Amino acid sequence: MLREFLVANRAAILARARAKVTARTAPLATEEELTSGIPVFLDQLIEAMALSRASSGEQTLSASKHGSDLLKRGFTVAQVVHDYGGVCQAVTELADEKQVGITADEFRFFNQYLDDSIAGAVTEYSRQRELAITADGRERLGELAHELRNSLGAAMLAFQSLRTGQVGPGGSTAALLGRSLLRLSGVVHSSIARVRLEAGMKATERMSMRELIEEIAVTSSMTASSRNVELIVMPVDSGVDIEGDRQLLAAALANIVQNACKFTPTEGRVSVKTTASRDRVVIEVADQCGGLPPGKAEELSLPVQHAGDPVGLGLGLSISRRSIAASGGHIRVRDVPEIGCVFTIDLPRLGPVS
Amino acid sequence: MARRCILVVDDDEDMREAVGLVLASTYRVRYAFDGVDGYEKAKELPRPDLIIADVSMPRVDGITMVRRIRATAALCRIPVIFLTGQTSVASIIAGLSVGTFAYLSKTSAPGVLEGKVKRALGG
Repeated sequence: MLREFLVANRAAILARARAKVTARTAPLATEEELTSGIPVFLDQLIEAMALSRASSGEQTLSASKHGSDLLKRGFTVAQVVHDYGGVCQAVTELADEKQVGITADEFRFFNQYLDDSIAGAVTEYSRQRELAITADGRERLGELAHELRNSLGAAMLAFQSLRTGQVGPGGSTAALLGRSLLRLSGVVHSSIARVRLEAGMKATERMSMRELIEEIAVTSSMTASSRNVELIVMPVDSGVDIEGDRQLLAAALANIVQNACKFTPTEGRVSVKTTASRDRVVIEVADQCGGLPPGKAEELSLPVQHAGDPVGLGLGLSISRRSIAASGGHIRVRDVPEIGCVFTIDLPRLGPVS
Repeated sequence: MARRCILVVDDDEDMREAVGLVLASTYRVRYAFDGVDGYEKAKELPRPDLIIADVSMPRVDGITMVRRIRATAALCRIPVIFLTGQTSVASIIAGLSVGTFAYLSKTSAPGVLEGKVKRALGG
């Protein structure tokens, strides 16, 4: 009886279910839900009822499959649950209006199908989410291993060449070894910063901007000298304080300054200038990389960078951005055509100690 | 006798330089930064006597680059050594299946690389 009612009133049920889903305020209905999700669910319900001889296992499988199909199309769990609810309400309302008698068994089947669909969808969502997290973790480990192997490979080749005694410790081989070790150190620091960020391990403290910039100057001078780049760090006035996670901020700033040194050609210059207003501290890192390709400044300003960035800048910058955001700041990138680019780190300034 | 020419293809600048440092005293070394650049540089004259390539590179990876080289009559006999961080069994099989002379880890000792290069060049 219920199945015949569903077949005969398919169009009316769909129209009513669509109206309910459209009227929803959160999550907002999508075109895909209205044109695909709801009709598929209703048709599968009709089909399942036709297979009255089907075992409950087969029915569960069909319901679960539909739930998982919807998730694969990009529907959220909330959308799936609301869509099922919309169809359920449309069927019962219309049956009530038309005074169609639905037997207790049919109603039980209907509810069972609905429950199975939702359970299947949620289970599939959890499974896919787990897979996505695992895949993401694998991808990150792969990136880390790739970066470590390149740095380690270059370091080992340079070290072994030095050991032969055929090249001197002051030449290009030693410089390559130093650069590779710095790169390894950078990879380790970035990884630690990422872990701290993701674990929410923030140790907020008041710190002197002068001390922080001096620390960055010391760590980055090694990178600058290994690439024969002049690093100019302007002194910061005392009494300029900020609040944040010192380790994260130091790693982020060092990453930006060291990248600036990396992309500036030999005998070029990188400058770090810090200015403070009443409530902001602005650090400008200017390099001489030659300028960015069209659109790159905007791309680098996006919150998430692509891991496939061939120079690795995007990935490091992404972690730097998150590290600075964790202290209430932000990064902007400005292109200076033909010359280089300027990274501006803007942080809230703390008031004087009372 | 002119020095033999080796083309080093790697997207990592430091790795290119490190390989160059090991080989430059004996061979003439040229560089390419990915599979596309590697294929183009391989076609340039004088043609390389040996190609040392990374596997994982942007745009075109090392295996695809070697397939293109093998499919080009003028280049198909150039020996190739993969010097890569990809050291899983599947990667090694994939690398060797395109007709490479050797498959080395990036963390190999310079002596191992030098030995393979010498043998690949018939020395």
